Amino acid sequence: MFGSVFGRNNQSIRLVVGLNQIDKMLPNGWDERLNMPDERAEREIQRRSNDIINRLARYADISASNIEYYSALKRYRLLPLLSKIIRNAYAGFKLDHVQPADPFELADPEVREFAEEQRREREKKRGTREPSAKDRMFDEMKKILSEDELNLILDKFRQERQLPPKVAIFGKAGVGKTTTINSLFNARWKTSHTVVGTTQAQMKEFELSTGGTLNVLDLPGYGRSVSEDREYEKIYQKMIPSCDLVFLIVQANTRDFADDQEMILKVSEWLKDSPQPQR
Amino acid sequence: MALTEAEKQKVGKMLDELDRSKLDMVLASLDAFGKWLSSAAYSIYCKVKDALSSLWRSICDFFS
Repeated sequence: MFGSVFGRNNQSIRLVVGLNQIDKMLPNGWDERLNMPDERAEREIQRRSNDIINRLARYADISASNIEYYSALKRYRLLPLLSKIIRNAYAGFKLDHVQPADPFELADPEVREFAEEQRREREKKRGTREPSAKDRMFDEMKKILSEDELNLILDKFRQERQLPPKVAIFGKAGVGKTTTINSLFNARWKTSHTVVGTTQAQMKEFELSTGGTLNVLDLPGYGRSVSEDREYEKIYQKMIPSCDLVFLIVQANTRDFADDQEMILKVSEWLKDSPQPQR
Repeated sequence: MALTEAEKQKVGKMLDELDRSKLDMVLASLDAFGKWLSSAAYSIYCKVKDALSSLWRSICDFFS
């Protein structure tokens, strides 16, 4: 079911491609009252998205585990997207406490109320909380490692956690970067400063609703003109190797993926040349 | 307007999916830790790899 570092796939690339705006794939396919696609639309969205995922993966020689479809506007499939981000980012575990915006908040009030009630019941059934996976993991490690080894790991772990995750986000203009950041990371924008001497690329600091900071490198959108793209490519190539993850957003409800395919190919090559973030 | 039975079922199905996705996030985090450990301290990673792998599987089994 899962490609795991403990299993078959230890080679990964710090790239996630998000197919956004899948709610616009089919006219009249979205149930606004429930804020979810109707059954026919859900099947069709899945089928079309998987076709696109296979095309993009084949073209750029990346895995389907680097690509996910979602709608930032409707807050649909944000958790599967976040899982892929955690799995593919360098030290992605630093993002595991992120809580994306709740899709039921956009549903009708009675639907929202029913969902809340169901959640409370499920919570009650689950009963007392299990120790977290991370606690269990350190417990397992304690049984195996010497005190010195364990302290070494804990020191490295703490040092790593002190560095806010740094995610580069880009795509064509109007692809929904801002909505994605707001919905997916449920984060509040704290500060922003210009980098590489241009207002076209900005480092933005976000405060996560669940605590901690996230640094987002907001890169300019490609696909408007050849000369602009050439200029931006220099910025991308300079900035991307320092990031823990590159998140490239693609518009799902289009037929023309040529620019996106080229960009995915280039980014994956740059990341292969720099398998760990250059800090 | 009260929810119909069909709507209630759809909400339940969506909540199931959200629960499954949360499990996947736990597993993704374990994966990410394993990858990070293999790059930060490879010799230690080799020592604990099997134990973490069995923890990973036990979490999968618990939710399956």
